[in-house]
Amino acid sequence: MLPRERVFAALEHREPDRIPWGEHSIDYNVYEMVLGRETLVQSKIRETKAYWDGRRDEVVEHYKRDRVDLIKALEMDIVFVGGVPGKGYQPKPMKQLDDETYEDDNGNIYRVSAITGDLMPYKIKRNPIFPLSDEDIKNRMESLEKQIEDVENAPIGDPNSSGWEVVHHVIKEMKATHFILLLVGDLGFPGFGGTEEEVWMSLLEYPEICKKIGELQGKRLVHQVQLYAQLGVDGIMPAGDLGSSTDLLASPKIYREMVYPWHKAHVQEAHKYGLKVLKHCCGHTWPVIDELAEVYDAYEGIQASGGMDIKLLKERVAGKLCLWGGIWHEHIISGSVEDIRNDARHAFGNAAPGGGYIMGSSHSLAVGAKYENIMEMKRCRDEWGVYPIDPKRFI
Amino acid sequence: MSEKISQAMSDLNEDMVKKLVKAEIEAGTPANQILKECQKGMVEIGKKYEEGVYFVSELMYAGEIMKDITAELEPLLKGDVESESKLGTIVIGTVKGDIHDLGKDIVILMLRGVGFNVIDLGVDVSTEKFVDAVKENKASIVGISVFLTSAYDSAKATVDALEDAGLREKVSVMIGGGPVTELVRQNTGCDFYGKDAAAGVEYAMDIVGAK
Repeated sequence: MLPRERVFAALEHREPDRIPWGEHSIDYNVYEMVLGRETLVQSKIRETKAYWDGRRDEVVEHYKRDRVDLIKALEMDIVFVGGVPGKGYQPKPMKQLDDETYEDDNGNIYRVSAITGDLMPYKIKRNPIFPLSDEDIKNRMESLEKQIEDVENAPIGDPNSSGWEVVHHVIKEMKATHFILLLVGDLGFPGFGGTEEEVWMSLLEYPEICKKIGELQGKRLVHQVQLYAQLGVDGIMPAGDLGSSTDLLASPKIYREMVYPWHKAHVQEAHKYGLKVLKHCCGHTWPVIDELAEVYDAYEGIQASGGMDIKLLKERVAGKLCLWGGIWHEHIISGSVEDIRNDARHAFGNAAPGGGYIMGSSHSLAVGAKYENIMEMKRCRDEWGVYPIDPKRFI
Repeated sequence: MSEKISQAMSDLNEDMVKKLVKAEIEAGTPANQILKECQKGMVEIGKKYEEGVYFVSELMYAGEIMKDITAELEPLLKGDVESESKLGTIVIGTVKGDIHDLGKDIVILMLRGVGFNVIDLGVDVSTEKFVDAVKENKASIVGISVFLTSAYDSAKATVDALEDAGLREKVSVMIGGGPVTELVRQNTGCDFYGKDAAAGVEYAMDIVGAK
């Protein structure tokens, strides 16, 4: 089978010839370990500084070259792609305060993580806006209603713009053989406010406003699907998180009232264009797993450390929701090859038989991922992932 | 004093909590007793969060109610809020290299709510900052927050720094965050790992004998 045939088989709950493998995010270190050369792809502060230096075209060339080469080197079946800054993009560099600290024009402070190299928000100015007056509430509702009315006529963007350069390159190079997955926007819990506390409290204090925000964002997501279809990808991945490592971030009731209808509408629109929808949703999602299974084609970011046991998931959603994951992100970084084998045994034995399973990390191949553990994932898939898969061999 | 305040607090009935607190103040009830009733409500809120009845929104809302009540009671408390009804001092921060703070902020909210004096060191906290904060504040408990798997080494380095500074025996160290497990606790040298914020609060209360 071709890689793309494998992925479609898994998504359609048919057994492919072997378990497909994909990731939704791979950091620079993995490219450098596997390909043996430096890259700017997902290279954190280095990528940011390259944009500051006006080297946008160089960054994009690295994405085009190294994404394709890495997927081929690891024999993955899914190629994930996204938009990139358009030609000529060169933002003003932040002011550097010391070796690891930067300040933007608004006085917000950022720090480079000593661990990942990310430029992280460190001290961001936030001003509370609650409580809202009756007039504030009225004005906000009216503004949201107006924006909702305008969604249908809003431009969707040009599928041939330079922001889609990497997508077009990957489609040209790999669509004949591989499944092309586009990372897209999503709707999470639609809170608002001047501080993080207010964003979460707003779901309780101003539910009508939050519902309207959900409707606006949801309709925008639906409206954008036609653009993705024009790009020629096979599937889209909305990546809004709903859970922490222990529970949903907000109540299932709020999810069902404010978010679920728009997740459903988003997927229905994608399906009209023949696009599959593979949802990234790390964290603990048990309270809404039936809704996810009803709506999406696949569920990725299956966080075992958040209580999302792939065996129990398969028992609950087999035939409805393709499960994509199985190898603990934590084990890839700080575990041994034996940990990877144990994860593979558990996932392959419980989730793979019958199809409906794609191997992947429980989150991503991130900074700190060990080369030997990534290669062990590949070895397990190559040697144990050939169908038909007898679960008894993994006991 | 009836349990109505703690019940109203637990129910997140802000108007009722404020009405009852006002009534108790007018009736001459000592401010620290009123505060204790509110803190009992926070303990119940923590249990509801652990049980999956309450979520982040409810915790944030509870935190705002407690802030308002504490501000109202502060002028009436003998001494100040820092010294009255405090169970002890906890220093807490997200380790060097990691900027995730939601989990840390939730546990801080709950710890303050039940009566701890919490020194929030923020995110990307160096080992030196942890050590200095423990010394300056005479903290008895240290909370280490980790969200990135690759930040485990920073957590271990923090515990090692406490050891090197001669503070390790004087503090109880708890660790929490998305990827943290019992194995992580062992490998980093911490005393306790909290699977969620409520577990961390329960541990802290156990340490100070407040359970």
